[in-house]
Amino acid sequence: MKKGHIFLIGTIVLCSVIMGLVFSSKASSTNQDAHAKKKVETNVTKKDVDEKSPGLTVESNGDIETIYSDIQSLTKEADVIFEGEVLSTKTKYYKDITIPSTVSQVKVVKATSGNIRVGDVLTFEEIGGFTTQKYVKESSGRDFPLSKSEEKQPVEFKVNGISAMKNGEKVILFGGKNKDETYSVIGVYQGKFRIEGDIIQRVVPKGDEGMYSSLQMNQASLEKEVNQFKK
Amino acid sequence: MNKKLPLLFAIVAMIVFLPTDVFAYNLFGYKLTNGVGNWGKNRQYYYVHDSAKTYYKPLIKGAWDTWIHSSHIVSTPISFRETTNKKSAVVELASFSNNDSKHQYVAITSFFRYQKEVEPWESNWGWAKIDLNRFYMKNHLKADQQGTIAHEIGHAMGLAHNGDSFSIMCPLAGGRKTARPLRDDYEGINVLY
Repeated sequence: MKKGHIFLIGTIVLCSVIMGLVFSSKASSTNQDAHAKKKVETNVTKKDVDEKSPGLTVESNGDIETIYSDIQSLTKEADVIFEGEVLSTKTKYYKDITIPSTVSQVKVVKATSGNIRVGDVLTFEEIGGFTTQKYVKESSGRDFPLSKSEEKQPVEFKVNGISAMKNGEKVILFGGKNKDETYSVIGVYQGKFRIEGDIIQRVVPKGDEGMYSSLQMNQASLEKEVNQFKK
Repeated sequence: MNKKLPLLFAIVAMIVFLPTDVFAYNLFGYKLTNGVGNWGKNRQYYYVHDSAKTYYKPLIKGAWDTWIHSSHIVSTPISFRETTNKKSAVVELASFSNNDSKHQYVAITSFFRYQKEVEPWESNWGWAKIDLNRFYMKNHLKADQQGTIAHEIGHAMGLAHNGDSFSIMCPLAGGRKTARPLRDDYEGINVLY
């Protein structure tokens, strides 16, 4: 075989290898059917083992208008920032929407910003929370048979995989005051941080992992940042 | 040999940098149990609740049309028509305005199945319900409102978010630059159905 032919074949093999690498990296950075399914299933197995969730969950997909990507933007928007403990929750229903809301009484354990003091109890309202199979059936308007015991079965509505607050939960909240004196979490769920030891982090919505950060940090760092930017 | 070298490098460069068809769509991994119809053969139905009919009926029709009439971009099997019989619908559209907080969802899509809980990342769904937030929708142009409806319809059929601003499945917060589905969105549907 001539040297020229060997060189040509070598070049073609090299091209194939380079193209293979290029395609495989692009395919993994985008999303492809069967492989994507496998990845999703793996993620799902880790869900909610630490939450007191019922057997049934209705998972909704909610869209937001603004991303608060850092502590600075959350702090600038918030009327109150504090560490709190959820004292009680109750489910609230609205006429036009299937998904129930949760009204939580949250006691201020440590006030970081805003006109609040330790011991104050603030009312927060979030979309999502607990209801029963009976409600799901009735609100859906679809006739499907349920036994008496099934009717009482608890169902949790989660939006983007994120639960509403639960009794006893310890959280750091960036809250915005509503006209009726209740509060909402800034950016729907973006200003709600879970506390695990000294580390705090917010839950990243399912499917938005590449667009949204958990802002994991220790409490001292959070306080330092908040003090730098608070109103 | 030396004369052939530049030619060979040119061929290599051409192959490596040739524009390739790589699609940007994300899937929940599951889909509507009974599909999205089969254009020209059979169809599925959507139902519009009074709460949405009052405010968004033409926009809902427009949003569906952008999904159905796509053959100038990519053909899909999607075939939907409005029904007044809710039980025969696999997608429902409603609107709500539950309080005046500015920290609310723009729209929410929920997934249901008879007597079963449904997470779109875990199993197929029998029907989906789209809830549009009037408080937010009113702050947007009609074209963007229609885009939001088309985005939620994408969820109802099985598409998840992606970060491409020229995809209808880019979240509004991600800076969506289109009010209608584009090539990648249709390709995602063709993978599912």
